[in-house]
Amino acid sequence: MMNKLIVSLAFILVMGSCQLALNDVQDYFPKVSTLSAIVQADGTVLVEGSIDAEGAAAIGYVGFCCSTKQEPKMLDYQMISNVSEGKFSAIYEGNFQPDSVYYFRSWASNDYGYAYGNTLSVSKIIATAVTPPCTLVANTCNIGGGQGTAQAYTVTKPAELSSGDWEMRASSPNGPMVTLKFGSTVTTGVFTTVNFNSPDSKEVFVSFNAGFIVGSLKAGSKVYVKRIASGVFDISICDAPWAFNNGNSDYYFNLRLKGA
Amino acid sequence: MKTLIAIVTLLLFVTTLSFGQISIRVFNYHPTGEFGFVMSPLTSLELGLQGRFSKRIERRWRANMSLVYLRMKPRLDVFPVAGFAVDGKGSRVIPGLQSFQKYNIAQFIFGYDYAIVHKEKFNFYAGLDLLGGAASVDYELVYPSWKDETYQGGGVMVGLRARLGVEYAISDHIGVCINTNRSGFYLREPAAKLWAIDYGLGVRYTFN
Repeated sequence: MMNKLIVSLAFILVMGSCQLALNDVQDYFPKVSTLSAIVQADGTVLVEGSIDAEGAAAIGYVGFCCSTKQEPKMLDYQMISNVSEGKFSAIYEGNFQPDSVYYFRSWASNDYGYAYGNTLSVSKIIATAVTPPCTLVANTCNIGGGQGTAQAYTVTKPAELSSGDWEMRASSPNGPMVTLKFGSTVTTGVFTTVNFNSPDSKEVFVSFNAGFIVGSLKAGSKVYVKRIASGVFDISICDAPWAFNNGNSDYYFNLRLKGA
Repeated sequence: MKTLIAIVTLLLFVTTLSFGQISIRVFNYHPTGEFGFVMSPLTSLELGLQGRFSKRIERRWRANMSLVYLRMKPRLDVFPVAGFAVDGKGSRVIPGLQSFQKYNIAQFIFGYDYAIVHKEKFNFYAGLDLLGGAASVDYELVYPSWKDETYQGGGVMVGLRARLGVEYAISDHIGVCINTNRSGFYLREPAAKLWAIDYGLGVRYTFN
């Protein structure tokens, strides 16, 4: 009995103390890299990072920080991300001054502490100009061509559907109800219409109904999207053809929505 | 009951040890686990009273009693630590700083060795000790603009130590040994479970 107790205690001691200390104390902390910081067409900045090593414990949190100082600290415009296959990303949006230089840096934490990645700088953060070929009155629509007539549109914010598409609806007391179904996140850019209800990235399916008239735009037309603020967009469609009752004659659709 | 056990244990030691038997051991102490993350290895001395294995084959046990003082040094001047806060400002990972100003440990150790291989001059032995003692700890742990968990104080500790070693008797009076210990102890305040390994070289001298 005594021998078993002694052996058990010795075993506990041997096992408990067998996790030798790592030679380099920095190996306890995570190692991360800031891979890229790219200005998107809508003026946001997509920042990507990677976990190079977890350290001596599982990763707790990862994210980025951003500042006009050359070495941003963790709490400077902090974004917390999720890791997927060793990579993580975040989208910084809004209020960048075009004449300032911004510095982005990744960070990661585990039970032992935290570590920063390298810093990347980005300057002239500004949205790419999207200029539609027509100038329509805001919040109007005309399904017969020409300047919009039906006014006072109410526009919903883009909502993500279970399919992964993003849908916006525009309704008016005296005009067609319009639905725009985007195949990817709604951002500043030019989207192309498709004539089916499951658009891919950078594609959009535009349908409408006005009384007994139900239609959708033909494939190949352009939809000009300009992001004004978070969830607020200026969207223009200029003379996009659609066929009434699938007939041979084309009608032309004009729309400008501004707001959300 | 606990007091009675302690007294009986000490009496057993007294009967097997005499002040005519002293030992000194220099050892290299390696904290392991989280203790090893924070504290550097160090070299220290262990001073004690140590019995000797009898030349008579039937006496393989010997008792030990010793004192150890460990003045731990942190591996970094400042450790970067991170906390997670959820409050009116949302969810944030908050960076903090921890630095150790003092981490001193004094241990009182007593236990037994058993000679697994027992020759006239050579013994290969295993041992098990009880550790008691105290630590004096000062550290700063600050998350700027969030919280301050700076600590000054200390507490008592209890633990165990297991050992393997070889001893060679140079003469009837002098024996030299090489051994390694694995120890684990619980520090009550600030609460911590600490583990370590050490490797040492010792000399035992018996006056009579």
